[in-house]
Amino acid sequence: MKSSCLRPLIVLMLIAGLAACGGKASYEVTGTISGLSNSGLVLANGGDTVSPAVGATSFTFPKRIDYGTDYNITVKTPPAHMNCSVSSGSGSAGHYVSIESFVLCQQNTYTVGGTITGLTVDGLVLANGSDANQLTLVKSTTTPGTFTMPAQVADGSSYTINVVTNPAGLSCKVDTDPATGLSTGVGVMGEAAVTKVKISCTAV
Amino acid sequence: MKNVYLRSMLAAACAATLAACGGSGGNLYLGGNVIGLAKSGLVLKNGDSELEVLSGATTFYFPNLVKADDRYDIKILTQPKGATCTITGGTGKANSYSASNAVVSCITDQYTLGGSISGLTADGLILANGQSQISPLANSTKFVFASTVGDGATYTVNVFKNPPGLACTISNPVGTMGSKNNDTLIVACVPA
Repeated sequence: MKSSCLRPLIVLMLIAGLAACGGKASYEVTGTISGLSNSGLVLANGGDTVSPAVGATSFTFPKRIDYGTDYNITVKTPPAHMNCSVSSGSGSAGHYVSIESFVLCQQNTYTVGGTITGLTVDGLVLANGSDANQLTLVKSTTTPGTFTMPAQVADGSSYTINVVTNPAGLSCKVDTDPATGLSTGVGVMGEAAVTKVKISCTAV
Repeated sequence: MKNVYLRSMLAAACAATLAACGGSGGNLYLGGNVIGLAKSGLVLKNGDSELEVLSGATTFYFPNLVKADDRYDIKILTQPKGATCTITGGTGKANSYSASNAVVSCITDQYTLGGSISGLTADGLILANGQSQISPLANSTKFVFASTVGDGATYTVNVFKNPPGLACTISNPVGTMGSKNNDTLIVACVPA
């Protein structure tokens, strides 16, 4: 009889103890970031936003959320010249011990290419610096022919497209831009694909 | 009593079956992963067993199977030409996990790229090899790119920007990196 009285008492005390803690458990909405080298990133969880600084490796939203509340971390604004993806960014608070999402940011990349005249024989090889992704072209089926290098170039990086191997019987060269006196195969990547490289091939 | 007899019969049958699996008595592949191998000529060995690993391979397995609890010690017998490889997890006692858990990491040998400049009377020249750039100052007669180039890789160097009042050209802008530092590029600047 004594024991049956003690048990409910203990249960009541435990409940009282938990209630003193603040009722429901609440969770910080946090994550780690890698590659954030430009400013401007804004992450959102519903209406709550956070703007990690350049070089930040972690973030925490200003508002905590209660146990059982759904969260969904999204990229509201990407950093300048970059794109970011979120993984483990959605779920229900309390499903795991803590909310730990991952944000990976990478510089935007675009293709480099252009037009080519006189390519009547297969086998022209083009390269961009020491990038292993070289381009081997077959003879053009359009006039002028077009080409796009296989590897993209990051926004802000330079490129130097050159002829590595000529097709048999042809001599191909990257044209000079009369405005700058420099090769049209040289430049720095902006925020769109480059299509201005001009190559001319002549019979030798 | 009958139970014990049956059990030992089963054990003997199992042992016989396992032994039948391979002439050398093994049933585990000895090998692992290969990272960064862009050159040919790599030869690995384990005891008397030798294995050539081809350029571009991402895994390797010795032809001879090993038994559980066999000791293995995978070594590099011959390095690839133009690259250096190292092994981790190549030594141990074989079990179904460890025997295929070695990692061979290879790095293509790197060399510097540079050359000589004449007529550079002003600041502002920028040379580029793809995304790698260098800005030799006025009166420089030599330059070396900070980024190295792998043995056998192509380079395509251009004048990225001329100094004010000068026009610079490279007489040998395209080539293939050999097995030593390259200082053969020739840049000449003349008044524009």
